[in-house]
Amino acid sequence: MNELSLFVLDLAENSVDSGAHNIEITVYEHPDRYDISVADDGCGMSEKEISLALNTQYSTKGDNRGNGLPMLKASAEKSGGEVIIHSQKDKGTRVEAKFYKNGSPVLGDINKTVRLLTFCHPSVDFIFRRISGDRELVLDTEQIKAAVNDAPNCPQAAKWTREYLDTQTQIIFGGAVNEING
Amino acid sequence: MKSMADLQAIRENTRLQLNLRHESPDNISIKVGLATCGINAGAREVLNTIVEEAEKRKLENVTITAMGCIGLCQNEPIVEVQFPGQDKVTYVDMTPEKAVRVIEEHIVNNKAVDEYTIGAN
Repeated sequence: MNELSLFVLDLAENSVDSGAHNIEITVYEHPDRYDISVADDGCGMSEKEISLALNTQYSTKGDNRGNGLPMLKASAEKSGGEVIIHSQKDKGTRVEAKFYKNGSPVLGDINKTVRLLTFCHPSVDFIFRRISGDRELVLDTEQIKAAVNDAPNCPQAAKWTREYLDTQTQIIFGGAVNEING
Repeated sequence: MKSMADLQAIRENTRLQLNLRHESPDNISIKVGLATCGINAGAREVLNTIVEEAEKRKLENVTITAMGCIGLCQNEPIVEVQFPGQDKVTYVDMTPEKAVRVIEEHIVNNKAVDEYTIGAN
């Protein structure tokens, strides 16, 4: 994966697969690194499963699957960072990944990742937070529904979400979206 | 005065009704593989193109969703199209450009793009 935003997409899809109704995605930008967190209220994992999932090709979803988390871990550690998973059966899971900028992929189009998630999974409530210093951008699925007075997967919602994220990113963090994401 | 449980039930019901409006069984189903293998191969860009084309053309009769790995990792990105009552068509090695053609020819004009399908590859 050549963008951190693609890892975020992969993690969020795992959360959807685990039966989550609520998924929180946080991208916290520090001067020298990104702290990324994807948390859900899905089926969760045991301690043993966490270890298997992170360190081996392990999946409950079929043969030849189970590469996403080891790939995430390898990429984070290559940059000098790490991946930590907190999880509890029947409660949910939080995957935290630390990527040092010098040695990791760029953040990439995180807005595209987020809007495709809200569009494709309208029954799931997403909260997306992007934080840098004292600046914060927040998008909540409830906001989308209220803005278009319709479901998050209607055509107007796709348009509203894209425009909201891109203009707010520019206003809050400054610069063109492509510039600041690399 | 409604209880919290009542309010929660109303909220759930509204959510279901809103979602169902855009997920009718009469819709054409478009599924894009979004497992790790798909994302690695560029599926997000294919999915984005499909969503934008549907929006541009104001297509009301399509349901676009993500799906998991179907065991053809070497041929990702994969897009499955299914018209109501018909067999599904599986497109492989998809790109944003190919997705535009699939929307134009298959989704809008009901003519599958055979050269992009799994059968032809």
